[in-house]
Amino acid sequence: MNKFTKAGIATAAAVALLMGGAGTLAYWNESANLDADTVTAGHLDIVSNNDGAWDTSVDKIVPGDTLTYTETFVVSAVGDNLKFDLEATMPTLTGYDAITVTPTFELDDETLTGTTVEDLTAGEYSLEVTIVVAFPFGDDTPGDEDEDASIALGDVVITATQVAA
Amino acid sequence: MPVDDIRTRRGARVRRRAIRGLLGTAAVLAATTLVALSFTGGSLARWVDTAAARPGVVTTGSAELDVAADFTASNWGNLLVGESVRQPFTVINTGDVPLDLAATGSAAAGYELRAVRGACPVSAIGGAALDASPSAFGSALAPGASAHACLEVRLVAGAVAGSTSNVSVAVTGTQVR
Repeated sequence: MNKFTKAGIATAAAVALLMGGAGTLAYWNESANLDADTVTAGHLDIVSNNDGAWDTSVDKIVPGDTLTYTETFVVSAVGDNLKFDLEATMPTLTGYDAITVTPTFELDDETLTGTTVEDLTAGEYSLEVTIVVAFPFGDDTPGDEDEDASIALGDVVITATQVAA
Repeated sequence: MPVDDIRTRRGARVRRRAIRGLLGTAAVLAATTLVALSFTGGSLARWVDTAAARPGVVTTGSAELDVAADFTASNWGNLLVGESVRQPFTVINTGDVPLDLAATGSAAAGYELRAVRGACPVSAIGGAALDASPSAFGSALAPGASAHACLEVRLVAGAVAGSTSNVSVAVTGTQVR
């Protein structure tokens, strides 16, 4: 065999060796399943019972009339470490000096002194919103205050906000 | 150096480079996976919900009063001192509240005005004449109700013979509870 033939055979053998070595590289892997329990999220919801109504069916109010609007809500708070605040806001009625609009709130049949309750914990609460519209009959000089007015009372917005536990 | 040694050393270098390459790739993949897991579910949250009580719109009423009269002007004419003429008119509560009524009147000197609730009497109406001060004019009138009334014009001493006078009567309604 001449030297060129030997070189060719040696080269082929070397290539074969290199290709065979690269194809046998390997790395191992293994997996195992972690069987965790189901995780469930709670919730913080406030929902109207859609039962808002006036106590009398007065078509037009006049001095001396008082009307009361009542609507109830369910506050549902679910979460092991949930804590939240409740706050009510209502736009101020302006331009009608003889008429007053006064909202009051009852949480689980307890009358609230203000418009905010703080640090409530998880549970289900019953909230009652009452709005009293009063048009007092006065002994002042008679006039025509607030006659023929269409008064948009605005919404009482109740907000439940999670706070740090 | 024997050929076999050279081939073995070359093969070993190639294998070492290949292994390092594979290990490097694996390390990158592991790091990427670790980073991906640590960022899963990382957004901050705080729950809030709102609802609203919606009382809507409240409408106010008004106090409104109308007077309807079909006087015959000539009936008031050519009066002599001491004579009086009475003609009917109607007061209507067109508002939303009950009203107490009062009347005021104005006329030239010698001309006196009087008004009463109800049908016109045959004889002269008693009581003081109307002036700028409101005089009670019967019981309260309910919303939507109307009341008959009578207006009298009387010529008294002091009237200028042959004179004329504009006569003005106002009926005022004031809400009662």
